[in-house]
Amino acid sequence: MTTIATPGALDRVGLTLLYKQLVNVCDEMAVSMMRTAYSPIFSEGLDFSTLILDRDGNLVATAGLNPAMLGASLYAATWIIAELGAENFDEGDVWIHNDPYRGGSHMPEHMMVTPVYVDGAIAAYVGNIAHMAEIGGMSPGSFAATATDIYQEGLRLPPVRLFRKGEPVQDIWRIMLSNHRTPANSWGDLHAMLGSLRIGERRLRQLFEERGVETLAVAFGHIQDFADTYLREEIRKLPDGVYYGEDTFDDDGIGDQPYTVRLAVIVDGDELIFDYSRSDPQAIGPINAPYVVTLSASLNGLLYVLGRNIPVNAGLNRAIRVVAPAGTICCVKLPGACVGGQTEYQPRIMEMVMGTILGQILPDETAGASGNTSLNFLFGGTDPRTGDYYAHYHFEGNGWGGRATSDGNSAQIVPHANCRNTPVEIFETRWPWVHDALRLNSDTGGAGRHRGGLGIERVMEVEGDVITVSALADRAKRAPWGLWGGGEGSTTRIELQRPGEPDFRSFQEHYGLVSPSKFANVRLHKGDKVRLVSPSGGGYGDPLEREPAEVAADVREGFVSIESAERLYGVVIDGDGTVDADATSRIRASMGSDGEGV
Amino acid sequence: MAWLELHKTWHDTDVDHCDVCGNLIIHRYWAFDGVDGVTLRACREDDERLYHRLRHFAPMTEAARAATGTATTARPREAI
Repeated sequence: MTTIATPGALDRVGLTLLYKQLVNVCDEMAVSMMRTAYSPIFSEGLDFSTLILDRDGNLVATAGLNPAMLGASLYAATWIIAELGAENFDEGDVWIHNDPYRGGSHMPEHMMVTPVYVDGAIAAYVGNIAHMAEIGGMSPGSFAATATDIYQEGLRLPPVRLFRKGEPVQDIWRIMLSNHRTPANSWGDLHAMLGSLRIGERRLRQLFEERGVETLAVAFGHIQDFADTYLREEIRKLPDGVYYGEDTFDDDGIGDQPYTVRLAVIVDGDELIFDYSRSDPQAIGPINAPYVVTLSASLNGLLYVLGRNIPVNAGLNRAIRVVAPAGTICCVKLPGACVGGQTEYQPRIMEMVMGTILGQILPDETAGASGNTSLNFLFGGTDPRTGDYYAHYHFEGNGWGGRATSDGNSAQIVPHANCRNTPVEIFETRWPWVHDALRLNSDTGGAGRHRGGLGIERVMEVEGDVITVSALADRAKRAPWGLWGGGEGSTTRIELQRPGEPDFRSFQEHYGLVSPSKFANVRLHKGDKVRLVSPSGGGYGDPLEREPAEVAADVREGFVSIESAERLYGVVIDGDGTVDADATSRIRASMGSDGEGV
Repeated sequence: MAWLELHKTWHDTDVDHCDVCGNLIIHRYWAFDGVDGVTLRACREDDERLYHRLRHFAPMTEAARAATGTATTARPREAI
């Protein structure tokens, strides 16, 4: 039973209600941003977070949107307040930054923070972090897979005032908009972020007027203490020891050598140390992670297993230490490129924490690997329908790993991001592509007692005269792993078919690229077709333990072929779709099954 | 072993990392002697204890720096 002292004016129930109220404020800020943004990555993808911070910048509450931004939410505001001094946050000021070396996750994600003044003093801050679709740099969509330094990835903003005492700082606006390829979109999205701050500020001010500044200041502290206490109680249940895991990335887009992250998790009473110091040196290409991304991966992996109901705030950061020496792939140093760290590195490391490390302790709480690439596909050009320049950052759903209780989900965005797919209708309305297909990729989920979820296959044709495309993905060489006897999932493929060509071939084959999953600035023309195939999840448990009826259902749904049902699961399906029990028993016996479940 | 001020000019846009954990150092740092005689900079005082507990990562850190060609942030004592 978790017990904490509560401030005089708020008992335990009151504190819970207050916390929910704060989360609701964050939710309202998020809805406002979603409804008023210009870019689908906001309105459809929901690639943002909204934050309430105490007067020292510590996170008190956040909307349940994008866990990938957790590390940045914990540090980005705290660090800039410490660096600049709270005295530089006047009423009406809005600070913005996207510096990945100062608490940002990668440069497309911009953080805004504004102080909430009550009676002439700062009582709290509200903030948000959002992925802007275009911020300049060497490739449309600002996700250059062949970038070798930060300067190629877009416009880097150290903390600067976007508004000063309520007035726009026009110099900053002009610099930003001049460096973005789609300034009208940036203008709209930045105002969506500003509107969300205004809502948060207004709601918080009401709360302070109703409850009193000091009462809420104490309560904010107790909400953080509660998260700390709760997490420590969960950690204390784990046996002390050192647990190791590692995962390897295909390449960095510049060379074809793999990069490995090695992690030792030390469980010591009610504390955890995540030690990444044996990991590979910083890569030349953009797969490196800033410190906060490694922190996010560690915490998210932990929370998925231990703390599904723990309030998400700064209290989570007290019982854990993340050791990620600068200059490794886990903590990029200036001027290292790092745009892919948030989308490729983080989900992989999160699942390494969750699956291969915590799985050693709590096998029933973990899952096989997801496809675990965001399969970032970027494009830009001039729309022949309007004459306007456009750019878009697209991420793709893939299969999640099978878990102890069920099959993996299909066609889902990476688990750490919680984002949404952009519907085909929006896609085709906004940009000159037309879809030939968007479907589940049959027969690819890792076999297991619980099958891995399926990735997708998307085929689309260029309608514009010229579109410049880039991609930053992984898992093209190394399939998602299964757990406890589960099979591997399938790999990523990014392919192209020119008019007149009989088949799709990889971009790598077409252009002699170093990497099968990372390239930048390929010019496509009208009639070219692109096929994106996202990876499927790994299986969980022995496939021979899967209920034959479930295999038959998979065959009926088209998730598994009749041939794979027999080859991988030892289940024989008759022509009418039913299980041939006798044949299944014989085959499973020959494959080593004890026949249970047949 | 002491807290020391980090002196930076306003036009220095680089950041300083903790030699122990990689976290950001802002305004001041905890200076202590590492196993190889160089002075290390930490973001918090108890990182000294953490450093000695996880001593194995010191050579890894140096190897990482050498491989990436980045300058070491561990400075000789007299330079501080």
